[in-house]
Amino acid sequence: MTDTVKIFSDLNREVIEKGICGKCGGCVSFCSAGNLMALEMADNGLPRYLDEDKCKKCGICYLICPQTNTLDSELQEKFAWSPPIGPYKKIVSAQTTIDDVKAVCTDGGVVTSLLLYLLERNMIDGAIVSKREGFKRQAMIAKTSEELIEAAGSGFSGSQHLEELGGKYTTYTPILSAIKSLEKRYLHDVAVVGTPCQINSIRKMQCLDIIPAHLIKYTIGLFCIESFSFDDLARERLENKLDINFQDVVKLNIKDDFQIALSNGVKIHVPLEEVDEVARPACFACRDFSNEYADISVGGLGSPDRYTTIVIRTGTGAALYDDALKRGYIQERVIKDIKEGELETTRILAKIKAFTKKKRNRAKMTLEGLK
Amino acid sequence: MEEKPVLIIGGGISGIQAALDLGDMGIRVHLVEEKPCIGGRMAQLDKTFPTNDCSICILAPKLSDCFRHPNITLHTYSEIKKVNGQKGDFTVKIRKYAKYVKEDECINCGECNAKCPVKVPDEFDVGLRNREAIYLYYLQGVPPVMTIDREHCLFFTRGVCRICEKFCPKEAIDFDQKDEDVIINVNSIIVATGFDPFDPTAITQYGYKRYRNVVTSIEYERLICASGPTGGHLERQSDGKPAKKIAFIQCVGSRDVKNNRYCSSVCCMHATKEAMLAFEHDSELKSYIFYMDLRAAGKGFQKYLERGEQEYNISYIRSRIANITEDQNENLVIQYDDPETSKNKKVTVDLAVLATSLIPRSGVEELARILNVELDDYKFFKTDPLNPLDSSRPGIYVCGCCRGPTDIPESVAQASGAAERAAETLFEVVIT
Amino acid sequence: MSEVRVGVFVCHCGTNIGGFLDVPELVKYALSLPNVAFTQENKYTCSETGLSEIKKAILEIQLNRIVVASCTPRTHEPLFRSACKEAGLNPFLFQFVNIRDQCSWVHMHDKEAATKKAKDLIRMGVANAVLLEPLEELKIDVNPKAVVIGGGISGMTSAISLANRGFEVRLIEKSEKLGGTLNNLYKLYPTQIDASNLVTAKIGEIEKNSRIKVLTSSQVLDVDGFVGNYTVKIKQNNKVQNYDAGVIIVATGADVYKPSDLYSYDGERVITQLELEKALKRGEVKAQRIIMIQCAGARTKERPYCSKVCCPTALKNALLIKEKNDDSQLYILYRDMVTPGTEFEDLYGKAREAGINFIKYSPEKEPIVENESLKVYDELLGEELTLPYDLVVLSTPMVARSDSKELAQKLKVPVDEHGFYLEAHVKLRPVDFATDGIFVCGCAHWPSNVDESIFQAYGASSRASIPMSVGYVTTEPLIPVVDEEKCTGCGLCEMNCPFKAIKIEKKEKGRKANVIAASCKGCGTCGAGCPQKAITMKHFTDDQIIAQVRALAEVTS
Repeated sequence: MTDTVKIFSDLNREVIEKGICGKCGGCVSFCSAGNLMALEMADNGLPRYLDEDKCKKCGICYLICPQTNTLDSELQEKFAWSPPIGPYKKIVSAQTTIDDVKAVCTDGGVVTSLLLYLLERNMIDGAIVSKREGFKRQAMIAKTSEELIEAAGSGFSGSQHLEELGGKYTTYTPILSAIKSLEKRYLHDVAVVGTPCQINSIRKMQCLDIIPAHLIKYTIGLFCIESFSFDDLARERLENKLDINFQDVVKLNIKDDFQIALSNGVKIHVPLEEVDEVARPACFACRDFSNEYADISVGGLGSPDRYTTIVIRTGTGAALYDDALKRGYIQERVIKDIKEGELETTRILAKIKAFTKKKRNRAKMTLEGLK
Repeated sequence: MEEKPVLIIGGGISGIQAALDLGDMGIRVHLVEEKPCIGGRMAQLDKTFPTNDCSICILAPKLSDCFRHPNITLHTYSEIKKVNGQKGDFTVKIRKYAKYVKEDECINCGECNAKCPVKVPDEFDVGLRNREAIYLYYLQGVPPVMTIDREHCLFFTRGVCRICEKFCPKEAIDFDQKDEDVIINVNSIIVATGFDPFDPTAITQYGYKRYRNVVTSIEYERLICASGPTGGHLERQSDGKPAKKIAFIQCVGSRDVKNNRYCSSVCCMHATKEAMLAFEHDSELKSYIFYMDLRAAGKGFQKYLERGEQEYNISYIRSRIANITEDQNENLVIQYDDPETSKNKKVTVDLAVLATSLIPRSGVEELARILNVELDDYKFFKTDPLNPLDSSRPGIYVCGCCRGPTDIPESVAQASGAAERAAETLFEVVIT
Repeated sequence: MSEVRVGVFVCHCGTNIGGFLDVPELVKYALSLPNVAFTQENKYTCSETGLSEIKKAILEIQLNRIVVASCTPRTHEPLFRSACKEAGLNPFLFQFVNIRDQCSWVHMHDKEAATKKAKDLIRMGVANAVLLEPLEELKIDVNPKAVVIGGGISGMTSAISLANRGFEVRLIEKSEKLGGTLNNLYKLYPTQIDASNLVTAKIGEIEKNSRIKVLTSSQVLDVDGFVGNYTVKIKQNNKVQNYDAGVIIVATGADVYKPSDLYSYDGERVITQLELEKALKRGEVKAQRIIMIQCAGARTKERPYCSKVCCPTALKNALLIKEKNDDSQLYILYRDMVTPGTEFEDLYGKAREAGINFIKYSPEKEPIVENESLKVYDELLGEELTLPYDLVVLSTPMVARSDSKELAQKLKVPVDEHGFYLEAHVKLRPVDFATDGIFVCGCAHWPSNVDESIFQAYGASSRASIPMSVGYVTTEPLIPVVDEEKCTGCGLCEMNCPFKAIKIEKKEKGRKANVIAASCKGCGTCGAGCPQKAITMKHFTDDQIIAQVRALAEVTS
């Protein structure tokens, strides 16, 4: 049996060396959450052996990698996946009602509001979010409303795609091993905000019933075209190209295009193709735009300014959204005319479909090119 | 001719007591238990009424005695598959499910389950925490060896992992183990399979599974038990705050036309006990017990209830609760008829504990079929009215809660009684 | 191996101890004590894992004294002693230190002080352990004969069962015939058989079995001896005889309280439930309007207990009357209807459906029985009712037999505050007495119905048969040793011994105290009282006690 089990070296060969590793951190977070400690994240963000002797060849890292396919059909069945954009119950535009959140959010502040709801209602012990420190991104567990809002200040709704010099970006250590230490209490429920690859990895862990996924009760997925990763040289190039200084950037949005708000009030729109050169190549092998396995998927695309598009996918997501709405944490965009409202939903859906198709085609080409 | 042994089905306090009595008499016993460890329901309790003895403290020596007794053979993680024959000469097929762990090698060091990646709800802690796919059924469990749950083990479901094997210092893990059928020939059989707690989800007006602060009595026992998932801290699931006011709702599923018509006998007493335990943890705690009739007929029981009322801040209110609702802080609002004024009243509490019915174990019908014995209308084992430990089939005896809901002292007396009936059978056979 | 090597195991006992004492600190401290060669902390020392650790340490570290600092010797001393024995260490080289009941449980709010106290206790325990000596358990032969006192359903069932097992049984009954309370009962529920038929059936079985000798019109005058070797002095009519037995089963039943002072009881229009049974048996119940009062004289200050059987009995009789005469009007006045389990709850349902009326009354407003009618405040209605009656039936509780205390003293067993026999452990040893070799079942133990009496009887037989099956019992050798040089034969020890376990006898060197090991419970009264200090209590020597005191006071020289 052991001979046919695919292990990290297979992952290395099939994914990492092929350049399609999305650095989601799933493999490393599982391996370290279980105290196996065979893998680690290198400085460049790619997983590698920390201590090959410690590798027990269990094969789990291979299974939970979003770029491997063994669990795909099971995932699809478990989450009632259907084309073209995965399962959904409802698609709306909404925004926060909370002033503190409005002050710092990127689009509609929906993610922060949902997490605030979950924390304040004691439905989670903490949320795994990411926080911007300068240009670096740090993963953190927000356990209080204040921490959440602080993290929101980095505007993770869209700018989570911004990565600094291979900065750590993932849901792996220290966060998940930190969660394991919370295991003293029987109630430890966590919400995770993540990109499609991260959520995919978590869902595969949940298929296997393995740690640390049993701690994750809510997944909020972000729309994602690609992540960015650049070194100083590339940053200079970009700054020259766009005629901006990154120090002056106050906000980054992705809707149909890249929207940069500067401190002097100027807003620059950049077509996505123009920033492809600083996109991570691995992202080009990814097929999931609208985060098809999350409980709730969110993003700027399709909604007007100050609003977030929300795709409610699972029962858990629906219950979360409905109650948060009922209790006034968020408010939906009101379109008085019913027909106009329906049309709006259709428009949003169309945009999501378009971007999904674009991403899938890109992935197809990339993977074929790798053969 | 050597005496045939006796088969005992069920390793709870009843089965254990019967086994010990017979073993001490010099009679060999096969004790079959479906869970990986013996101990049964009593192991899940915190303290026992009316002495408020720590349950596992008084049980553990018996578990040990059973395990080490030269006349008792334990078959844990096993089921009865077939019974043929008659009194004095039964042939029984026992299926021993593979634990995939060598019982003689495992030293219960815990290395394996520290590394097992799987997390599934734990049965002993009634889903209040998770366990791994390789696990010890409960801390003081006997035999003290790990078991692999093949329904969740990644090796059995997907062919991967086997991490436990790689960490075991004694090479005690054996994925090649097979289920084994053991055929034994016994003189008589004692059934001691105990009870299950009733699931009150269908009684929707009590909000179980909808309101986070409504729990069942078995969940409460695990919460207040020091070896339970919260280390004995009675915290509300909604906000982790300690419960200061508790309502105990009696007869949930019992004395109930829609569910179980009978009385579960022990709930008035265990609710009092549970209230007392909460008070011992926090002297500011207030308890309300909403009952229909207070049943405290055993030795020392009436006094126990009086102590509860006088010394443990318990109010006994004779009113069946129609429903439980929640306020915005997830406190529970109990509406009841005040027996003194006959007026409708409300009380808001932090935690509600449903005293659920004791029902026959799931799988009891299949066992009855295999044994060819009758069950009564409630699916408890039917006994001969003139010989209340004898089942409907000669040579098969019944004791404990599988006969009908009863408390520990009764179960123990019945178990000794069943042992005696089985021993009588042996002598009869030898003489003829 | 002359060096004393003590192993100290400190238990967390889950959080019972570990939550309130600094266990690692205690382990560290123990290692610093003289003669301690090994220490360990365990989560549950009594678990199989803990026990194996002890055995392993005995073998590997060559320990020759074991100290376990954990819960209570009451429940766990035999367990740890067995573990030592299994590892080849004499079980009496084991020392228990109770840091739970006597420390962590009573000092839950002061961890520091409690830990210090635990250190003191452990220090004392180790000092004691050093002086322990190996002792051998005593084997006492058991006479495979039983005496069953009481010929009611419990006694008869027990006797028949033991006889079927091959043991000889003497069944002793005070009255002229067997049957006990059953002789006065009418029909039984749920079997619907006549109580007298059950008695006849049992008597039939007894007569068939040659191993049972029945002695009616007999009383126990005295009981002497100890487990396996009892001598029971029995008076039958005027003849007195001694019977030897290995075990004794008490099945003397209970009386039904006759409430001369309650509810205008007169034995004619106001009768007890038992009297109703007798009347029903004779077919003499003609009354139409019958009111039954539950808890009559029960759950009161004088008798603060529930007698268990009265509610089902009242229901049964009420149903029988109603079934025979549909025009009868029946009322049952209750405080709580106690019908636990499946069959009795069914009975309650049937009674309600048959049209029997139930009125809840409260103990503060007891019903008043007047000449023609009864006044009762109905708690549920909130009104006082006046009910005319032909017959009032009082469901009075069972009470202990008037001579239960006397018999208890002869047997040297305890009774509770109500006079019912007190078992060894309410939960896990309901039919044993703490005194070895004597057992109890049926209503002598506590009000029981017929089913319960039967299975307690079987239970008592089971327990009683164990020493008889094995043929011997072993007892703790924690007995006094008499130094015959010092003993002057003064007889103070014999006078003071509560168990008649030490007697002055003529010996070679004169009149000396002689210990009857099997009866001795090791209480130490003789040793403490001996004016010549001629008696040493094994396992509790003066030297040991002084060593503990010195350890406590931390006197090192």
